[in-house]
Amino acid sequence: MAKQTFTSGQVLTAAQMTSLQQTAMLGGDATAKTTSYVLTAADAGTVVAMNAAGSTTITVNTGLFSAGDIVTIQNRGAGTCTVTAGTATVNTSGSLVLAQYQGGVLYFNSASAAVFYQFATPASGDIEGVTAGTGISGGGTSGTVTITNSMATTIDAKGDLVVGTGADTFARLAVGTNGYTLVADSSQATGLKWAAPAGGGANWSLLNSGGTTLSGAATITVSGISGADKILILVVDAKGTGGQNAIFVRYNGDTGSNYTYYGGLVEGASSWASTNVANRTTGSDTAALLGGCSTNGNSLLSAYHLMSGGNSSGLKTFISGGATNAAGGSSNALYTLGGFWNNSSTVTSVSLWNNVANFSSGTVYVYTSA
Amino acid sequence: MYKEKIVNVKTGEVTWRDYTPDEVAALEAAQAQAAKRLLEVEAKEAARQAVLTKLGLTTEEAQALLG
Repeated sequence: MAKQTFTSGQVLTAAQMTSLQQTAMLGGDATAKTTSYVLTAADAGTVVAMNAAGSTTITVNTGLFSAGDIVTIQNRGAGTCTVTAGTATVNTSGSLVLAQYQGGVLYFNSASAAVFYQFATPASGDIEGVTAGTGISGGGTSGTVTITNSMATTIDAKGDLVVGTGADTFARLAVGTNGYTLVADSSQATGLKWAAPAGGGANWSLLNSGGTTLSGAATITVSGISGADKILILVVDAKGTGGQNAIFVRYNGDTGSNYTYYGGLVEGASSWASTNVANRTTGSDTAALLGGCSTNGNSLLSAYHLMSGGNSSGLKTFISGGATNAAGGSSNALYTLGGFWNNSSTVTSVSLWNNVANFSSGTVYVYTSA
Repeated sequence: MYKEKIVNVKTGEVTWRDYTPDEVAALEAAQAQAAKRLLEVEAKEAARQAVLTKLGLTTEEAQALLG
């Protein structure tokens, strides 16, 4: 209500008391102005509300108000409303130009001077609040705001891991037992678990189920090998159609002089002589010798060939050994050799190569290990 | 005819191919070498047997004599 002059013995009504309270809280009745307005003495203690689409002014003149009077000014309209010093002085630390929904209190220090205390309103670009997004908590819209890294506070102890549990969600995974390793496990909420490390031994598997028969060809190739670090070739009772057959191993069909091997052989004979034992020093061959067999005495070769490094770009080393089974005769022999294949390719195929004839019988088994 | 048999363990496919002329030539050269070596071994064995026959000894008797 407007500023009143009370008289002794006057009785206040409930409505007057309510209005006075509202006025004390800078509220109270207000008459919306739709055009520029010049304050009058009756505005003391009231709310002057401007509501205009265009720009307007509220003019303050001297001689109308007493020291201590206030007028609350609101701008409800879209047009700016400017508190304008008419004949009175109006000071402010804010702005006298009020955008829509801005306002303030005009406080008179004297009949001719007033200070406009603008209600604080955020300016463009001001931070009006901090909201916690994913992975953090806290925030606020006033005062000192604290935000907390929720992922950091999820960690409770040394060795803890923060692990995703789904889109934008995570959980703590406590450190595992000493020596355990982290392994994937889709049955776990985190998709991971600590577990005792699996044994480091090689897991071998037979590539050519049932073996591959050695017959009808001078070269028997097992292809389609991939990811094999170690390859074990077992040859059982191999025989060729030639007289003296030497059987070799090749990788990837490589016929270049990239095979180096050393070792020895013991050749059978009807009588023993020291010369039956001989060494082999082959610096560069076009294949790795495995052993020999012969139609003479019907000797069959059984042998092994173990290669390492097949899935690397370095040398592939191998060891091999084998013997023929003919009883007596010069065609019987024992082979033991070791060497390497000097080729940077990973192994994709292995071949048994009979250097004089087609194979006539026998089986080759190819085992691999990653 | 000399061939290569290729067993693909990934696809299960088995294919055959004939040797190229160069591969056949290399194979035949190796055959000749092997035959020559076999003849040499057999000749050596025959000569040894002839000596034993001339002496009237068996292989076991000759080994016993030589200690």
